[in-house]
Amino acid sequence: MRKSINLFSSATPDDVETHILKKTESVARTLLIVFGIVLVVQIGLIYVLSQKIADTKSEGELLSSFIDNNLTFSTNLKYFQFKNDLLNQYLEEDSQAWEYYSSTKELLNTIDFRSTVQSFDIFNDQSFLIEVGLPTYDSAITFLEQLENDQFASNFHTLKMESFDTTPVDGQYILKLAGTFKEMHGN
Amino acid sequence: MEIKKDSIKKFVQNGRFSRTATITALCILFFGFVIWFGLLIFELYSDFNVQNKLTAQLTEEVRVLQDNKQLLADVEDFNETLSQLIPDTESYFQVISALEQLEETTGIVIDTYSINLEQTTQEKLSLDVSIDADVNSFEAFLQKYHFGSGRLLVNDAISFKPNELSSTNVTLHFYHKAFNFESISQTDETSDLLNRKEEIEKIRELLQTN
Repeated sequence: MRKSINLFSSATPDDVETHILKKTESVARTLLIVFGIVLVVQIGLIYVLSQKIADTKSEGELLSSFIDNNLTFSTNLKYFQFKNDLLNQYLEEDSQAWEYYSSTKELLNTIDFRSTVQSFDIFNDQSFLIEVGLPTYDSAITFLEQLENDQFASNFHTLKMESFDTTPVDGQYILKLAGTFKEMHGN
Repeated sequence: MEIKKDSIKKFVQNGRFSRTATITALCILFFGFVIWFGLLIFELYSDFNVQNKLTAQLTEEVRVLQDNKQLLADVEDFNETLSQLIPDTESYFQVISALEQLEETTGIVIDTYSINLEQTTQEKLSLDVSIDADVNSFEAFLQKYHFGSGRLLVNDAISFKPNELSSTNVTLHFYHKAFNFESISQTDETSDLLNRKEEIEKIRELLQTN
């Protein structure tokens, strides 16, 4: 039983259709506002991105034109690299005879200053065959002993005595040494 | 079926229907735009990234180019030296002239020379050279043969007797190769070029002192 009735209110209870339409309209309004805001943000983003792309493109074109204008220098630079690479590649094949010959003479002199290089064969893989001449039999024996010295041996990957002729040739006792030098970079 | 038709009729006849329908249609339209613009932004952003990467690449290329230009402003002079050492093509006159220059530079005398066909290749001319020298000139030869002739000379194996240098046989290799632009895909960093420059400067000094 109703206690009171508001006679001044014109509102009537909604029917089902009105209620649904009201709800739908309310949701649609909210979404419309949200989508509207999103669209404004998107348009802003599109504008900013388009500007940035245009700026980047024009910067790229400027850089490209700088590179194009310096094409002659770039070609010269490539030529320089090409020939320099060849130079180093070919020099790799060299025996570096002077570096090894002069260092051999110095090394032999550290053992016996009377020692002489009688013949010197060297290959680009640093392998060698050297004939060392010594004036006396005793000096040759002392020289042989010194070959095992660590400091002397440290200059070689391998070092072996091929032969030792106890009969002197032209007053020289000849020791034939063979082996491989440790790599030097003389060029 | 009749009930459904009635309820639709009630919706359409409702006073709020046209307003709700309009707002809903606008909402769907806006949603469509949001999706479309979203895709457009994605596409623009990808494009921007690509352009950015390309520009960064170009900027780096220009930086290296500017540094290299500063470092090797006289690259043409260096190339002249290099093309003298390793020409694009071989010429017998150049070879003869190089041997003469080698004699002058070192003091050796070249008695005979012949082409070593076994070792000669497309880019290497190998000559068997018979040298007459004393110890000093032979040692000068050993020290200077790489650049002393004005050409790059390489010797991959040598055999000599320091006390009998009157007729020493040496094989010398002369090289030539035409420039191939495609073979150098990337320009060196400036630090690498600096090493190369110093290397060639040393050779140029050697050539000038010969």
